[in-house]
Amino acid sequence: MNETAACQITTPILEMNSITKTYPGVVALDDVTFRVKKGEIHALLGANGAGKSTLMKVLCGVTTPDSGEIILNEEPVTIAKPSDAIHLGISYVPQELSLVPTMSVSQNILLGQEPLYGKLFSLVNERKLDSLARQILSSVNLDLDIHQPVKTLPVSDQQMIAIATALYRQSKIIILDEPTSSLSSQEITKLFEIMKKLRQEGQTIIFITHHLEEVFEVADRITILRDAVFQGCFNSDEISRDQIVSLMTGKKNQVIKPDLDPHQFGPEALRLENVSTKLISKNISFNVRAGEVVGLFGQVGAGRTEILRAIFGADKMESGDIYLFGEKTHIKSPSDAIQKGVGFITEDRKHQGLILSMDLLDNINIGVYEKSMRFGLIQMNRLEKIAEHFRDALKIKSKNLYLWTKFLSGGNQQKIVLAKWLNHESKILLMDEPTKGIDVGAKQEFYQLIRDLSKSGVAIVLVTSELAEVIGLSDRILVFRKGSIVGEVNPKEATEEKIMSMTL
Amino acid sequence: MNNTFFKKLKNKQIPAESGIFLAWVLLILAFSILSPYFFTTQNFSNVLIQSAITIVVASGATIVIASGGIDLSVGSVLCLSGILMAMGIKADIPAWASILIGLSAGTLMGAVNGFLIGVVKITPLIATLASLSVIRALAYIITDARPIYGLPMSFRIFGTGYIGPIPYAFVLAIFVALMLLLVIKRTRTGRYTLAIGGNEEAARLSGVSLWKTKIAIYALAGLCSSVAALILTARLNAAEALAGSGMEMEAIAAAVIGGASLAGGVASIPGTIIGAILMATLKNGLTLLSVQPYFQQLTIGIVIVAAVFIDKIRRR
Repeated sequence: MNETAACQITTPILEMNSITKTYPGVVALDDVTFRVKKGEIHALLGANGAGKSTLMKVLCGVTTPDSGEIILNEEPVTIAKPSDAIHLGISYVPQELSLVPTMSVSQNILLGQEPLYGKLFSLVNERKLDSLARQILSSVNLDLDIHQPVKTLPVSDQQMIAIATALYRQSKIIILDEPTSSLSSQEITKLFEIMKKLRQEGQTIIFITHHLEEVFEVADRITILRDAVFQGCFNSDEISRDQIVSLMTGKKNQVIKPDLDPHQFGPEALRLENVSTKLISKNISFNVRAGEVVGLFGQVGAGRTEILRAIFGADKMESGDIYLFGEKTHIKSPSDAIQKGVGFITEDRKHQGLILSMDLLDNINIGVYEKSMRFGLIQMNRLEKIAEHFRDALKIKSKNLYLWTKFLSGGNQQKIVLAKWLNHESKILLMDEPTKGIDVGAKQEFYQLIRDLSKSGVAIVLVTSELAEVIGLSDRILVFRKGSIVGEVNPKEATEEKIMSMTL
Repeated sequence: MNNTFFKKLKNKQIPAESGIFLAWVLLILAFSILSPYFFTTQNFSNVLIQSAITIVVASGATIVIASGGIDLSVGSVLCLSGILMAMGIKADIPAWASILIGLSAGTLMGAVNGFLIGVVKITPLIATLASLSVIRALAYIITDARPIYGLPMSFRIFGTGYIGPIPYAFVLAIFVALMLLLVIKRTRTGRYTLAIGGNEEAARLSGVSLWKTKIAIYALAGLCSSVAALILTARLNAAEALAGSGMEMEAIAAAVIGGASLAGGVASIPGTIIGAILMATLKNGLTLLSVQPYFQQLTIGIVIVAAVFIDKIRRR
């Protein structure tokens, strides 16, 4: 580990020096240094809450630091708003998509840079718009109907479009924030090829990811943050995986496998018979017993989220029957499902799982205020007690229960979502990518929580795209492909290759 | 409730209302210097009574805005409720019963709004725009465009009575506002309102019944409008189809100045109260300084924009 040498570079394209940023009750960045060389792929690593997103927000003008300086191409710059960053050639591709859902593919790609007929009239040149859009898409090997609204496309396509847009802008610095989280392995390979090609052409890329294998595959240098503090920067060929993990977590390397002591399963909790949903899934049948964890594995877009939403009453079923605890049930709406004991950890916590403008107290207690009510009024101290209980049980890092959840890190936010459902005492818990966008340490905690939950008799349906996760957590794995179940696998027997091939 | 306030202070969350409260204090100082008639008990009583109606209507509007919606029909609901109350009294129905009829009517009108918005799923702007017109038209039809005069003292006391220097109307207004504060902070419906305003989809997926909550919210707003009708009708000793025109703008302005976000999810009843009193103080002071009515409107418009602007900066 040759830290000092790797950090001292002669002509950095970007220097962020002594950046400090605090939010009420939380220090997000503490005197952080970040230096990037021109034409390199630089990986920014750290646990959720370590400060990576905040650092990038500062760089992109989404927020301003309390102190510190930014130097671009050896000249100090001020980035007070996003357009400043864009004008300086800094392009950000967020993890959670920033496309306009109702606009078409071509309109989204060239948003803000539409080719016009003439300077005076700003009439959009539709034909040129379309041909440019097709050109850009072909550079990432995407073949789509460019007139369809972006919201009809699967998440992975949307992500590729966002990346293509950033590439088109010919930015000096492109920031990719967890670009692989919604991509299949083939798409990831494609992405890395494009990144390497760009690097050859002199493009500078900052790459944020939780997947350490990816770092070793494409990154030249690595910067690690932990708890808002800069831990060091290294050449990627001079540091080991274990060293990275210990710097990120402050602990020795953790084995990512929860303790799997087998336990008795209870009676059947959930059964689907020939359930079909509107868009993708057809004739899905499976059952889950109390205390069992059934993993649904497949590529993105295989129809698993749809099934969960149908079980939860968030979307309508086209046909089929659902049995809860042995009885045929018609689930009319989410509140109906909740009353019947079903909980749902959604894939997208920011838009569906949490109310970001409300505090921990409300997010944990929403839907179960009855527990804290007396004479028709909510008792604040009871609410607080409940929230404190879950905060301690799930190790949520926030002293302030009244902080808006908007300000918490991804891992803590996800824990609050889980706390909410634990508070509901759901007997059947549906989980859609529960550890997406969460750091190694928090993931480990989550895995243990999931196993503990199943031991206590909760039936769990786990949708995940991470192979190691589904094998490590499930009692049975159902493999999905293009809307149908293609097979059932025993995680103790099957190999990763076998499962993977079933999905393709 | 006190506990929460101090806990928030401890956690370094300065209440937003302190900003406009300060602005109000500065306004008082300014007017006191500029006019000898301003800083008198009689004048303050005037300000309080003038703010009373706005406080009541704006409190209801605040709840609606907190849910991410808007209610343009509050003025019309006020008008029709007042007319029904007056007609009841004129028809020799005892005052308390007439008042009850008016309040029920207001609540019912609000519930219909809530039904259109929560069940039929019409956008709040369109739904309440429609009810604004329909209810106003009904008011004209029922009264044949003629005002109803001459109401007994037992009724008028609500508008004209005093406890020392403080008008009954103001006490009633603060009572209503505090009740709504209780609803928002300590009832399930209140929490659900903020949740829906913050993220309707997440609220739905957490088990909140959207339509039930929305009907409750708009019914509450309707009730507030009818309480305001009581004060106005009692004070003017008349009910007419013109009453309450433009009230919706005042109400929304007070709520926004008080810190409510039109996007929903954030609202403050204390802020709304201060906002309403601030606007009434502004109008009062400008009148005492003999500023012409149109310039008053201009000033108020500027104050509203300034308040929202400052709020946006504070949020960054």
